[in-house]
Amino acid sequence: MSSLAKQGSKRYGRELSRYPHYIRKMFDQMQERAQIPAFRSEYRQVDENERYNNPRQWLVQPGDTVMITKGKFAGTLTKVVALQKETNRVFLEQSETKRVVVPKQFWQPGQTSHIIDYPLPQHPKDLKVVGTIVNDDGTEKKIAADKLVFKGEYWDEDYQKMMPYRRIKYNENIIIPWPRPDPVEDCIYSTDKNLVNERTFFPNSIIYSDSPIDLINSMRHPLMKRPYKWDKQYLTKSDIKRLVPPQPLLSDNKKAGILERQQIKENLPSKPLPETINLVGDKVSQFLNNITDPHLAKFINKNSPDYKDPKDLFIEKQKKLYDEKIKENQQLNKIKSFVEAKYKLKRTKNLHI
Amino acid sequence: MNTVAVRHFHSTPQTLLRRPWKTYKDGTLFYGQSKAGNKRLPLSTKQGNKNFYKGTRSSGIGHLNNVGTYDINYNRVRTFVVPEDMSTPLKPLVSPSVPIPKNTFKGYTGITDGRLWLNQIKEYINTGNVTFEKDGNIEKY
Amino acid sequence: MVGVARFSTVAARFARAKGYRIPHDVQLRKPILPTIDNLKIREDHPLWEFFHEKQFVRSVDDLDIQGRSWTVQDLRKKSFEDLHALWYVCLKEMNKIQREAVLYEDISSSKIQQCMELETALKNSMLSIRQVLSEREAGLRNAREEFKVVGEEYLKEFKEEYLNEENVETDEWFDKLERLQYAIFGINSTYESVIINEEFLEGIKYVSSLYFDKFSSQIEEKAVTELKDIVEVYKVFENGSTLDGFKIAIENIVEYRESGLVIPRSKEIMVIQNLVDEKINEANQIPEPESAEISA
Repeated sequence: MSSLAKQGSKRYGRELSRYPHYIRKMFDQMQERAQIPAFRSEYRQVDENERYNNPRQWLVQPGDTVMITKGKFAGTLTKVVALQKETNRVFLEQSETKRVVVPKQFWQPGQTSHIIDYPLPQHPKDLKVVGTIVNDDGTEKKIAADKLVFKGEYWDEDYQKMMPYRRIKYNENIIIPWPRPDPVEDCIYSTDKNLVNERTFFPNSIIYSDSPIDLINSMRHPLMKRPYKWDKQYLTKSDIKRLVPPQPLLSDNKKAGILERQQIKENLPSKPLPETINLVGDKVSQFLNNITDPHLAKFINKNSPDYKDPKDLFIEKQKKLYDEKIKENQQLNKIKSFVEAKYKLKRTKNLHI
Repeated sequence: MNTVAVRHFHSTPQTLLRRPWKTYKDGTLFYGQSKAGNKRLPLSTKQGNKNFYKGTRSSGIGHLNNVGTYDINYNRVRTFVVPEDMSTPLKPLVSPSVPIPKNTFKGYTGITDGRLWLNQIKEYINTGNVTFEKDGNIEKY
Repeated sequence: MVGVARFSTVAARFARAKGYRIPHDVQLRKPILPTIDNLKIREDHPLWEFFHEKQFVRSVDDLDIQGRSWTVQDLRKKSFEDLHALWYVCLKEMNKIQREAVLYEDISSSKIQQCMELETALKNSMLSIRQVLSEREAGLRNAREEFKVVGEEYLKEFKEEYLNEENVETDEWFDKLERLQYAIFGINSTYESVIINEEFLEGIKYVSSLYFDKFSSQIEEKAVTELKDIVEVYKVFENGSTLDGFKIAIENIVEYRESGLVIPRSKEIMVIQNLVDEKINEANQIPEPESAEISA
């Protein structure tokens, strides 16, 4: 956030109007002290809500002839030059002044001295509006209005607004007209009068206007400023997901397909038919028997289920022979041990005797 | 109203920072311009603790793909619909000589009244255009 | 020196052997000072949009504003195109003035007050634009609601008027019907960016009933006594604005009835969408009359 936004915004800005009056007064004094004397105003600024904003409150407008009723210049006729809105006062052509010293950097064009007479603004209640009335014989007479009343309104072309009739109290038939304001020139940002007044929009349908269809959604978030916070008025993706019933995982068609495939699988024969076996066996044997290449034949023979390795056969034979030999030896050992035992017994008998 | 700006006629922002001769008896602050004002301002991007991430509302318009490049989803990119013809004679302000028109809605609740629009449509169907009465500064609907 | 030579690379040694690579005849130019006058920026640079008349800051006279901001009452007269353009005009001016305000703020210049004034005026203009647009949306919505209440009666009155009229084959009545179609049902006669929805169907049903009630009494043979489904309605709507066209439409309907098709209510929008798309394609395929003349 730029510091400009901080100053300007009501929320974050340092706004004097948010402080209580006594703190505001302190700020005003600080401000006053900081100013150079030339720019110190004699009169305090009034609050925003107390400032005058319409001609009924001001009583006078720039260009009016007025009579001063207070101070050194009481009784003189002058003209209103400008309104000072901050203090609810008006500047006059001839009024009391204050001598101030102006630094050179703030000199106005044509200024020759540091010291100037600065006019003091006057409050409208210290002024009497002067009007002219024409007598029957054609002579003009100036009158100063003691009190004013405002009755009735009219459209003023020069002010471009409704202005009240300014009448003298107790002589309400005498109207003091408002002075003509200085014409205001257009600045470079202002649009021409004819362009402003030109009408280019004409409604021609209750279905469409000339703006895009979903303009309102792009201008403002639909969730903002709704009367009730859960009243969404539109469906999000997740809302739709929640509201729509879930789709079955398998549709009826898919289920039927699965059943059909299962039945086909069951009906398939688990073992090959004897005709198939014969047919295949014939073909294979025919092929194998016609092999002429001796290496291939050897290889095939080697892979046949009846094939036995000659090495294995030899080992088997050796093992058989060995076993036989062992058996023979066992027999021999038996006989030997029997005979030995017999002779041993004889000898022992002999010894005892 | 900015109370500070007016006090600066005699000094620049640099001199305001370098003023060791100040005794502070007049209430001038050494640092900053004023002690008053709102201190509960929104946090900036540099403030907050390690978990505070303040974006610029400009990210999140796509995703990283498995190659490592960023795929932009153009539905999430902010777009500005610019008028076809930018050379309009209209200017940002209105001439001070043009008064603010006054609108009257006699017989209707206001500009958003459905009957007002519908009656204009009926007139359009019948005659081909809609007329709007104007009396001085008053535009009648 | 020997030690240094050991560190030098081949390239450096090569360079040293040849001397400096810059030729001796090159002349040094004057240094270009980094001032703003030495910067050249093209005229159509997009960032110029942030500058008032290509100035760093605008002059004092330009900062003096006299106008007022656009009010809601002013903008109620303006079409959407105008409002859209005005929004961007204000936005551009806002960019410019905010840029300048930051500059003035840095030097604590009193001109910032004038900048803020202009900014506030612009902001108010833009707020009014939004206000008017939302007002218009609300008005449109309310008008639709209102039409639900009083619309039937209005359409009945219009029908009576149409049927009581002796000669309806005039430009005045053609225009009137076209306006009615668009105003009440949103049917554009050229089908430009058309959306087929319930309102569209309602519209073609109403308009075809107008034609049917008007012209069916003027035909001698009563082959068709009522319109049965949406295709028949569409045929009458397309061609039935004149008596001759209506006869052709009736012939088409008789032909269509031989097929025995009846469109259910749920498929009406789809069928009409196809028919309209066909119609648009046909219109696109026909070359424009001007180009045909040139080729002839």
